[in-house]
Amino acid sequence: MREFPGGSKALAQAVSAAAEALRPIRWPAERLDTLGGYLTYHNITLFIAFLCVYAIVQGAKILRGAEESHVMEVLLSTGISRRQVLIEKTIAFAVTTLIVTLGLGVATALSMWALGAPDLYGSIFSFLGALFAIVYAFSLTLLISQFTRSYKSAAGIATISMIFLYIANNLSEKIGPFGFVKFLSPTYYANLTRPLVPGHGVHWISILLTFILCILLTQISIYFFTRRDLRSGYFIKSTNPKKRIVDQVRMRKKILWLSSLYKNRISLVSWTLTSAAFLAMLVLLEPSVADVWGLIKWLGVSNENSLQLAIEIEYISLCTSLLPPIISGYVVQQSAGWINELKQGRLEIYLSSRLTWRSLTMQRIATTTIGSSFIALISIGVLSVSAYFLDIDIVAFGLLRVLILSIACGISMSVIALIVVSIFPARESVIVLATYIGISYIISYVANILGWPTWVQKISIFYSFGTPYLEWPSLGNSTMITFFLLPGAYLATRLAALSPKTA
Amino acid sequence: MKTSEKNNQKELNNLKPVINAVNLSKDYGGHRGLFDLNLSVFEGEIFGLIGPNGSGKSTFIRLIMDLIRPTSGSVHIFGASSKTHARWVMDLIGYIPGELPRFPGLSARYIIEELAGLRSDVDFAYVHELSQRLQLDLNLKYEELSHGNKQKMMLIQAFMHMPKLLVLDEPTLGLDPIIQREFTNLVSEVRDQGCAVILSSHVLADIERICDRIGLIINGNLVKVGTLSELRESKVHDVEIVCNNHFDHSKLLEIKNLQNLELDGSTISARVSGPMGPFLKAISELDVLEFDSRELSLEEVFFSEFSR
Repeated sequence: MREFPGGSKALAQAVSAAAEALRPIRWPAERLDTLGGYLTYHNITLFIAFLCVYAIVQGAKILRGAEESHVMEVLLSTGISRRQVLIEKTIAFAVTTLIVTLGLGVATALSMWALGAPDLYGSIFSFLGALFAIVYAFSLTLLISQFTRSYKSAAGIATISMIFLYIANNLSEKIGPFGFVKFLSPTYYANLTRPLVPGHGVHWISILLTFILCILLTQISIYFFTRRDLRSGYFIKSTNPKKRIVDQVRMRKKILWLSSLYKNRISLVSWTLTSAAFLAMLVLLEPSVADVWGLIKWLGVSNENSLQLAIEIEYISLCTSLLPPIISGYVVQQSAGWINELKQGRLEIYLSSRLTWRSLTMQRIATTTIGSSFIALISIGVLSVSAYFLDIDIVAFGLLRVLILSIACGISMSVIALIVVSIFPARESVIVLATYIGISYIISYVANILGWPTWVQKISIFYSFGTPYLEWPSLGNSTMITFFLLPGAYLATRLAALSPKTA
Repeated sequence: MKTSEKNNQKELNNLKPVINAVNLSKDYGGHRGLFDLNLSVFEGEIFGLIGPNGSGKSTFIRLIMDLIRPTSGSVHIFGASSKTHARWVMDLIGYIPGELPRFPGLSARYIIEELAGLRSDVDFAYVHELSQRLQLDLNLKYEELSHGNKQKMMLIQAFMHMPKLLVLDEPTLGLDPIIQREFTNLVSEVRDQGCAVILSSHVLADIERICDRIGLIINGNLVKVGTLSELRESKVHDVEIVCNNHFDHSKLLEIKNLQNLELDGSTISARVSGPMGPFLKAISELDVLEFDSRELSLEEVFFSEFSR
């Protein structure tokens, strides 16, 4: 902070403007001129949000996942009651979260100590104070999963709800009467405890309240769990096979890649809506950001010629630069589906037909290309409409470039994902890919600011695509992209043929 | 080689081999896998694979399907390699894996339509016929079906394109007796149309009833191949007699090819290996009320082989 031109005050002023602009992503931002305030805004709020996402995944998986894999049947056949199962799984999650939050607290304490502002109590309680808020997210998902048809739908609905609540909480002061929804958001309660921020401390009432909410939601979940059929939602009626007659409706052959798109339609729509809503929201923030734009140029989101560009153009460039990472995230999720095809025995069945590895690889690329195009097209469309209503000038050719390069990024990421999945046909490869996307994004975001060498920047997949709204990639980067699109696809095909067909 | 076996071999030589495995091995290490398997399966033949769990049956089936690659040796389907001519070969095969795949969120009908899209020729009228014969409502969600009903769907997808070769790993698992009978009928029908069938099963009664030849795999080795009567190495009979008068059983103890002798009042039961003459001679003095003799079932052959 001391190294920033103008010192911590100048940094705080600059970051405050950027924080306001990126309010949907991360909030609140207070006392950024202090290390505790900066760390709380920059790291702790985000870590807690990630832990809430983790809680959602676990909340959906721990019960419904066990039901779908028939593990729950075996568990219940031992004589343990459903009530006991639910309570014990919640306690297990709480204990795990306690360990994780303690670990993060200790790591934060060490950082504070290393940077000359030791605060053990504040560091530990910054995370520990969020413990029950995270368990609240878990319990909320458990409750949602009592009513859904499957684990996937529970996870999907809970994730979308969580994203909505997270953003609504961050924007609660801006959305008028709808601001009350923040009281449903776990991050609202977590953020009340901010002992590292001067003027704030441990918010015991919110901790107590989230603890009570956890117990309440767990009790409600128990009520429904003990009354519903396993592998079904509480209100979902089971079909009785004996009463139904054999279908005589005309059947039609399906094309695999189209079928894959159809099967993943909910995921595709979710990614598209999230992306479009996110871009629209950023565009809606443009008037307030424009006022402080000069303060956040240090973010390095623009190209070398940005000094000559209008603020509107630079800002739209910043917004559209988020599209390739979103599309990459979608592709990584698709790669999880490829692993599932192997692990769940579908691949074995597909490849026992005239479908070859080569054809399957090309069809997978086709599916992700169409999906990427759909996300990009709708997102850019929504961004354009939002910009039109706010009277923000947009460069049509720039948007066309964004569309083309976002799709190219999706295809490149597909090729990388196919190669990784072929070499490591395990669920861990999805984590590797997700980590790569995360690292790529961080590199593309901070490399300019910190003046990292070009070779480090080239590790990022997003580096090659530059700033699509402003310009085409350089010749070297275009060559890099071409490598992924053509020889990369060939390599993916060859490697796929060597990978196992059965789990 | 006995005359009947020579005749069988001559008949087989006149047929085209659909599956031809030569010195086929898949070594997983630790003496696990399949070793030096030589086998031909012919047009219009139903070949059954039996053996204990982990003996190598599914490994052989996966090698046929090119799902795993051999350590040495080769297997050809219709004279072609399923590796180099996958597109052509696989289109001729109907396959049921040993473990049911998962298709979350999809109806049986959707899955059939999707898999039909991967086949060159599927007659949906035949799909409907199969679904009716197997009593499966295709509108139902696959994941909500019972194990047996999922297996029915797998049967439909294996039969729907009228393949020239059926490769079935445990096809009757979870099927009720009525559907098992229907399955037997289906297999017999396609056999009559020239389709070759290779199936593995632990339901030995099924194998005994429908298979033309049977292969016994133990510890990765194909230890026996032949018709059921050929598998019964020496003619072994389980005999049981009920007699009216007292009998000195010491005479029976002198018969060398008699085993498992049991006396229960007026009932005598034993196992005769080979010629029945000495046993018949010994009981000729008796006032026999009932005489029952039967050859060993496949299950008994299986157990006697496995216990060696």
